[in-house]
Amino acid sequence: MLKRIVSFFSLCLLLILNSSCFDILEEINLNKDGSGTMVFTINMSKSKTKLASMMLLDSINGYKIPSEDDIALALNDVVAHLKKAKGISNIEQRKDLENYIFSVSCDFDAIGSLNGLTSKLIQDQNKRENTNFETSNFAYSPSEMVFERKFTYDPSIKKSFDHLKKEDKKVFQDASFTAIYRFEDLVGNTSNTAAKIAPSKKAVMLRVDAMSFIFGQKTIQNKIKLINSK
Amino acid sequence: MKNLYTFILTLVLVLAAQAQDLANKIPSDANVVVTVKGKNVLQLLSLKEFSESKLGQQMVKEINRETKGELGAIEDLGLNLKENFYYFLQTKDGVFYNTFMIPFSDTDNMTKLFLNEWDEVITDGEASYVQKKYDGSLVIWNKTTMAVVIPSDQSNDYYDDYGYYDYNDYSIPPVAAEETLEAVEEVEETVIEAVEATETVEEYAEEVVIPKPTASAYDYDNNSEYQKDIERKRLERRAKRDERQQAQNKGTLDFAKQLLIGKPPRNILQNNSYKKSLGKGGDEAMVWMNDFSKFYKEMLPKDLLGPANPYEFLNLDEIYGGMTLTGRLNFEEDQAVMGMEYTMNDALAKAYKPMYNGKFNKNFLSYINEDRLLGYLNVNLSTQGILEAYPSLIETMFTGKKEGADSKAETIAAATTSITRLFSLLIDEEGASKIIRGDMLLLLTDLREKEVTYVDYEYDEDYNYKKIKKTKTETVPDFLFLFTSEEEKMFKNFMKIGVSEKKVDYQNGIYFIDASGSNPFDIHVMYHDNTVFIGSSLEHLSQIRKGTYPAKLSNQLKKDIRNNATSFYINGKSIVSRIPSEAFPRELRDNIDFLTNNTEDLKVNFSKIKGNTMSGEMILQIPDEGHKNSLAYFFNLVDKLME
Repeated sequence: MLKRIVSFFSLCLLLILNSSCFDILEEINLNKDGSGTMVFTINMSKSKTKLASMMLLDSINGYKIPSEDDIALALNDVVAHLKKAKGISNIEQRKDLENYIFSVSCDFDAIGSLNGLTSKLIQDQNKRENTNFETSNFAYSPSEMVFERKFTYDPSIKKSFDHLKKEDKKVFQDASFTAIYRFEDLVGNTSNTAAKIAPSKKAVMLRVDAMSFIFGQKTIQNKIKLINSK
Repeated sequence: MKNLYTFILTLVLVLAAQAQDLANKIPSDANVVVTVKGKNVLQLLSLKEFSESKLGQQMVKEINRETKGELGAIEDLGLNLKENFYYFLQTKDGVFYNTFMIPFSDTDNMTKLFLNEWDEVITDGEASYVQKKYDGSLVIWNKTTMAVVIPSDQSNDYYDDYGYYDYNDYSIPPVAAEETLEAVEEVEETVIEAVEATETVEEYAEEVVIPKPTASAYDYDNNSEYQKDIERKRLERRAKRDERQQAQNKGTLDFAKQLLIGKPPRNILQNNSYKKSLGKGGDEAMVWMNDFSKFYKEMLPKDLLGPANPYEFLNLDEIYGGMTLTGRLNFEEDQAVMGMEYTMNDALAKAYKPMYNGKFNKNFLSYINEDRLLGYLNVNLSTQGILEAYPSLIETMFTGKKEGADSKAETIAAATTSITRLFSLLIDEEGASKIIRGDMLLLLTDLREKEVTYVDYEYDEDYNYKKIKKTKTETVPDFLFLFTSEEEKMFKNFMKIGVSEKKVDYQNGIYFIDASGSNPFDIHVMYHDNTVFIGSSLEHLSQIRKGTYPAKLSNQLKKDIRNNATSFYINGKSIVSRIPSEAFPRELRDNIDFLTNNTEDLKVNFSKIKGNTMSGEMILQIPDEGHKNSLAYFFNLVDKLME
């Protein structure tokens, strides 16, 4: 009863008053032989007041709000999907419902194993929507010592964004994507001028705000040339 | 004799007045009647003012487009805006007739509205009409009246448009069946021979290839007889549908002609319930809904809901019989008021009365500070009344099996009444009402800035990161929820469990539950003065405990809270002025001043049941300045938002 009344009255105000945004963090630690670890994190803690309010309601703007159980199920699905992939091991999931931070990590034998996870989904997407996304996300050539984060912008991203309701677009206004790649060798140069090379020369960080990404003004595509550190 | 003259004079006057009004054309058994009083509306907003508004301009543009430039103003339509406009709904032989009755000064320009080649204007005596063949809807007019009739057939025949009920025998024809059987036998023989050969030559692992049947399985899709049959069925269905549509169109036309030219044997002004609902006549618009049970039965025909129709088990006559609804819209100078009245039958009123007859805890008024108040929701119900009334209400709903009803209805009625009776015997209604009496109040007490923490990352030279806690300021509403309870001991025991389980903290008589992932508020709870308080502000609860809470409330709001079964209030101006500008949608940010100056209070009150009637009203206050009246206010608001 109380939950119903509160949801009627004050949660609506909370939703109006507080902003929502999220950060995506993609981390890869790459060994010399092309194996390594990956961590993929979604951090929504800046919006936790709004999210907690949303989760007390059944749906907002016509979308069903997932419960804690729904979130746990979705994470389990991701883990189950990873377990089926070749060359992927040590899969772990972490969920912090206090701060709304969710992450999945795994080890890979070769970076190409990560592509197998998404290539089918991307192929289907390209076929269905007539888009032109890269079907592989990562590549590493030990002989040339080049690590590549592949990505081709497709105007369908902006088109999908344009179709969103105004309220839903707000979610992306302060959202960002951060990629961190760490290597055993030294970084020579990066193709993406927005990427920063760590003072130690052993890592690269690229931060792209969601709006620039959606409108194709900035890309997450990057080619990193490594130098043998001996 | 003097009385007789007075009576005759009054009668003539009434009849003369009725002759001017289109209401005398509405049959007395209409289910719904909506009245828009042109004269009252014109007093608030002239045609010139309406034409100059954004909505008016759009309407003029539309008229111009429809008439291919022949008409250029609303006046050109020839509407008689001083008279009443009506909508009514009548059901006849399973057809719903939605009818709009519009008074005209002259209809000379009507034909200019139908310039498209598919709009054929037919003149039959005094009446002219245009009817759409595919759905039968029509516009009909004579010199002073126009009626728009939109029929809606409720019969189940439409559900066979796709041939769902065709159950022809499409079994395989004998010749084809024989061929298929022979082919199957042939395959079987081949399999047997192959198995025998395999058994005799065991040393060789040979693959046995089973030949494919020489005749394929019967192919429905390419069978011309079948296709012809399907086509024949389709044409039959179409002819039947066309025939039905034509009959319905004729029915609609007869209905419309009768409406325009004739008079019903009894008109709606002779319906006492409708007459009573007319009130003093000062309203701008009115809605009246007749007997709900009749309406529900016609709205939800048995055939439409199928064999598992849940309404078959309910006794609609007992629940909704004699129940009417009246709504009135009144645009006053300083407020717009929408009034509603539900009149129910004696049985329902008897069941509902004790539920809504809750006691009000006067102390609640000491916990409201109108200076900071954003809104409230108050409910004065009686828990004891509800628990005592529900069993008999359920029994009334399910008993009294109707003729032809599902045989399960009796079983369901017996089961439900047994369960409610058992519940009634087990529960102590008076005792339960000591836990929650039924009067409760939810207040939005304030908007305040609150520091909240969130997790961010700090990177070292190798872009390794560690999580750090940062803070930011958010605007959050404070709420306070209170309800009367005599069970202090039970409350304290519940809290003790929370404290011992370390889910709840306790200090100075106030319990505290920290905001967590699943709870966006800090929650403070206390028991004080026969009341349970649950609120987000420790300060407010501490003040209430010490008796120093700065209570302040206008007499009008006190009356609303105290005297109604339910009341709801939103302090629009306060909310709009205190919401940070960045929380508004970007397109409204330039108009925040306009919104702040033009948003006032909204109130909704529902009274306790008096006699057999429960009444409610929604009141929207409008600003003192800047608007001629509340109707003009709405047009001004739309104009601003459309800019």
